[in-house]
Amino acid sequence: MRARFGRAADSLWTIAGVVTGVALMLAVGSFSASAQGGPPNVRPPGIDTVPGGPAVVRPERWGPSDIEIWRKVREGVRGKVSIPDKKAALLVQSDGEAWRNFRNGPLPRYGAWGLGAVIIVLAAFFLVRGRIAIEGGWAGRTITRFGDLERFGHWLLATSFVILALTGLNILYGRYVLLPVIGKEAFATLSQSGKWLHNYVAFAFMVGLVLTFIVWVRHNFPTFRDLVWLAKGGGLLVKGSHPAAWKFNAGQKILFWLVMLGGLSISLSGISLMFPFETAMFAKTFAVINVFGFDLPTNLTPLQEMQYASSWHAIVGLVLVGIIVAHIYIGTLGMQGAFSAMGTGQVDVNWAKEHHSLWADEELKKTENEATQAGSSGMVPAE
Amino acid sequence: MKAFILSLVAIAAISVLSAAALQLVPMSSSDVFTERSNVRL
Repeated sequence: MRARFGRAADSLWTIAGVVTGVALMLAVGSFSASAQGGPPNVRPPGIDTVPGGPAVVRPERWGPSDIEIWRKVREGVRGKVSIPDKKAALLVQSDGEAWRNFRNGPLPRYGAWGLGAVIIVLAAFFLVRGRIAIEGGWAGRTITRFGDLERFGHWLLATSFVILALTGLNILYGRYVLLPVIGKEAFATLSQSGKWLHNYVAFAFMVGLVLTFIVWVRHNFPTFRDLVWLAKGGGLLVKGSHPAAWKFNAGQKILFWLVMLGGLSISLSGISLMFPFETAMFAKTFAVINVFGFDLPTNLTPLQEMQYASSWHAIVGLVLVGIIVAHIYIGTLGMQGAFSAMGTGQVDVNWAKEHHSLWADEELKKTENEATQAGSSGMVPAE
Repeated sequence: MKAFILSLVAIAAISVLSAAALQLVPMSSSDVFTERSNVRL
């Protein structure tokens, strides 16, 4: 009897527990629905459910304000934040997607085509024209083409540029070219090291840029002779043609200004990338360009500034690499007797007369005058 | 050749100086926005 009563009591407790649990669940559910401002068992707005079927979204039940809000967010409308990072007020920056598409699509693609085209043109030029020889042969006498400071500035600029170009090209193309060859870990280490090297060597490049500008700018102002030189194609295409030139011919002057202006521009955009969100160089530049009738945006956000800086830095870098590849070709393989100008600083007299006749005449006269003065004063040359 | 060697020395020296100097300034957005003084709870 006692045992039967015990079992009945257990059953009652079990039933009471289930009932209490269900009641509590209903009460909580009802409270939650009430707390949301709606009656119990209200479905989420705009969503209907069919028993046994998927939820069906009914757009007409969305409030117009929701659509408007998300449309504005997608268009890049800024809200307000109280944290120091004001960029957080922008939930969706569509320009970021455009930048990323450009960075991973047209930029490396057209950059590779451009660099490939430069190499193909140079190879074709070499096949057609061959190495440009000293037509009068080696004279056996040399004159000083570049002094110590000039060569130091050149090599400072050139060597730092090569380091920057290689590390920069790795940032753009490394994942396609190096990663499959050396593997993820080696590529990650290499790229991280290259990134820091890129940052630090950039300052040596800027010093070289300033130094070469100071020592060479006076020789690089355009003159009437440059037009003649350009009209004759610099004598590069026809054997025996040597248009007159001073210390730098028109081609070298163009190279000088491209390197100076390109170097300045890439340095500024590099600094902008190195110290993110601190500069607004593109908005200011666009404002200046708009004076000439353009309609470029001048109200750029810090993020847009960074995106422009990144793209511009890569574009100018690729252009400079193409130009310098051509410069290295003509200074080494492409022209006999040219490299020694930057190697030892001395060039063969016949080379100087053929490629820089006005400058060579002037230098030879100076040398003769110095020799005459030394002879008349009883001085004996060292050799 | 001497000018080239000297330029390599100069690049190394300038790079080391730059690396040391850049340690003293914030160079990324995470540096800028994670300084203790900028954090408000």
